[in-house]
Amino acid sequence: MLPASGFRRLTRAGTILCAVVIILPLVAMVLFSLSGHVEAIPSEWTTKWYTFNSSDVLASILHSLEISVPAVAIALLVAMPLSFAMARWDFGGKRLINQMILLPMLLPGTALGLALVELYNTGVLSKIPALAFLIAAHVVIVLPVIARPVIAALEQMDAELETASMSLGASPARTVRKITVPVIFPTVVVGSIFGLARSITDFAITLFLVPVGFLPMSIEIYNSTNYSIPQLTSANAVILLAMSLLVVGVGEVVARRVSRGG
Amino acid sequence: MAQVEIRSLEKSYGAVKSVDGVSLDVADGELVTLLGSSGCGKTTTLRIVAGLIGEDSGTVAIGGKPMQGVPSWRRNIGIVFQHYALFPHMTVRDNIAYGLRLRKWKADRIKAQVDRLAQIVEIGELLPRYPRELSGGQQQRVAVARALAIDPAVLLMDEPLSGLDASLRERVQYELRALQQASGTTTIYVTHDQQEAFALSDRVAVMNRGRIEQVGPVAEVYNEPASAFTAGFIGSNNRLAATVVGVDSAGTGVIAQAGAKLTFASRDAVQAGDAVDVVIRANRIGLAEPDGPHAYPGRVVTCSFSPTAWRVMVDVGGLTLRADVSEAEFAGRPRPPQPGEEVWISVQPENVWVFKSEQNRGDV
Repeated sequence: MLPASGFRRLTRAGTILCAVVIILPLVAMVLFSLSGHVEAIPSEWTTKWYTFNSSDVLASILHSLEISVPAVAIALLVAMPLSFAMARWDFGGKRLINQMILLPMLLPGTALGLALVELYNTGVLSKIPALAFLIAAHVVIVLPVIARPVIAALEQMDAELETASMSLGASPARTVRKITVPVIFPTVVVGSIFGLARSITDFAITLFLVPVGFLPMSIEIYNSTNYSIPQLTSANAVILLAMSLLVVGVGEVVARRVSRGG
Repeated sequence: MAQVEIRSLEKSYGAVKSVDGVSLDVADGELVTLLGSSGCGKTTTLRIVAGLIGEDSGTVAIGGKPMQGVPSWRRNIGIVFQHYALFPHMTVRDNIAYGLRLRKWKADRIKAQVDRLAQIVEIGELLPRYPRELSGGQQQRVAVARALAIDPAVLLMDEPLSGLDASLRERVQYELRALQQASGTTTIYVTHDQQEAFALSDRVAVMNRGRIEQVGPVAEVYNEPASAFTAGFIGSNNRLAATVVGVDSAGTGVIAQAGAKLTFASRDAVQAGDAVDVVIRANRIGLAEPDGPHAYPGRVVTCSFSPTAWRVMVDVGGLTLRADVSEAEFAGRPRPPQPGEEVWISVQPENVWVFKSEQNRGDV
């Protein structure tokens, strides 16, 4: 039995170690992106890498949004009725659908990407524009990120609220509009934001499905290694990091306000 | 305001018959309580009247209009839920105004009505707040105001006070009753708490296993129970199974259990040898002089204090009976009876309630 103080010291040391392991590479990457020569601590500071291939980078940021924003929007349209059905109704195949919702989060990205590209190349689906297919694939991976918390929110919500609304004279449709949706709205927003983050940062599946010349940020970084300039790749990666931090940061702030505001 | 007519309501969940032939008339402006323990079907019955659950068979009519196929949102009812169900994303004012906005009332009329109701339930200063900022008692008042704001034909209350602490509950009981009587709203109230039922109701319907055992004014249900279940459910009682030793033509007889023999005046027609359920109210058993009329010798098992009466457990010939004895009855005695002490208790025959034993006795 470890003495309390010893255990606490051990835990603290372990936590610091974990933080270092996570942060250190990111710090190195940022430092790297600002250095003129390839070295750990820059002797020469520069921001030229950030503007080196700026036209490519800007284009790829736009492409990221062109994929991810529609993907999240469509995923929302599907997730809302799906979540409602899963949380409120009983029907045949419900358990199967529940597993299927979970699946995209569990499958390895490359396996899914490979399967999807093979599906696309054979048969009738190849008639669909490649971008549309890519967005559809993103819908599949974003859907669980939105649906799972929304289903949980609906289940945790006091079902009596809907009953109360109906007893006061609101039809079920009205009740969903005026009571159910507003009550779960914060969860929907948070889920969508994290879905956006998931989509922007996706690499494995996107790699298989990108149309020629249409590179989102996550692929652009990989692509920039072609230049064989590590600082450049680092700079691009820092930009993507900043993008995802921004998205996730907004998500966190909203989530915290939601749990406080109730 | 309207009367409610419930006829032969039945509802099953799988193999369980939750409501088993319930019929009840609630007069315009009356408050009737469905009283029973959990699982007796009282809440299910209430929800069928509300239109939240569909009945398997039977009818519900509100104000003379049959409610067959009429969904909840068209029944003009108000419900107060056990956990209030206030809309968390709306202020108190908007909560109360919800039903009025649905009915497309004009804004100034809505404001007047909300203000009026807020004043009646004394939450006027809480109108701009959100439900999460309110205490349980305050939330409960908002729930009542919200239900009454739409001027419902029937008010349905599902154990609305169970979330409040005891001291608050009593005060709110009286306020609720006053409110209901002042507004004259026909009300069906559901509770498992007898005290609540007695305090609030015009009539009480005692429910057990999906059926109404007895319905009537409070005093009648208390003093003249029609069945062993009702007798045993209401009040504090001694319940025992016994055998009839003999009955005379006047209906007086003797029942025996263990080594004890008690005289009773019969309620059900019984014969010698019948197995019977006996209920004796604890507050109908008193201390007596030795060999007094209808007195039985016994030995004190325990004696404990309670605010309303001393609870004396007495062993009478192997039968342990509880007697609730008031302070006044102890006058003349040096001190309350001690365990082991010999004591005589008396109970009038008409307070020894004897019912024929049924095969399916309700759970008491």
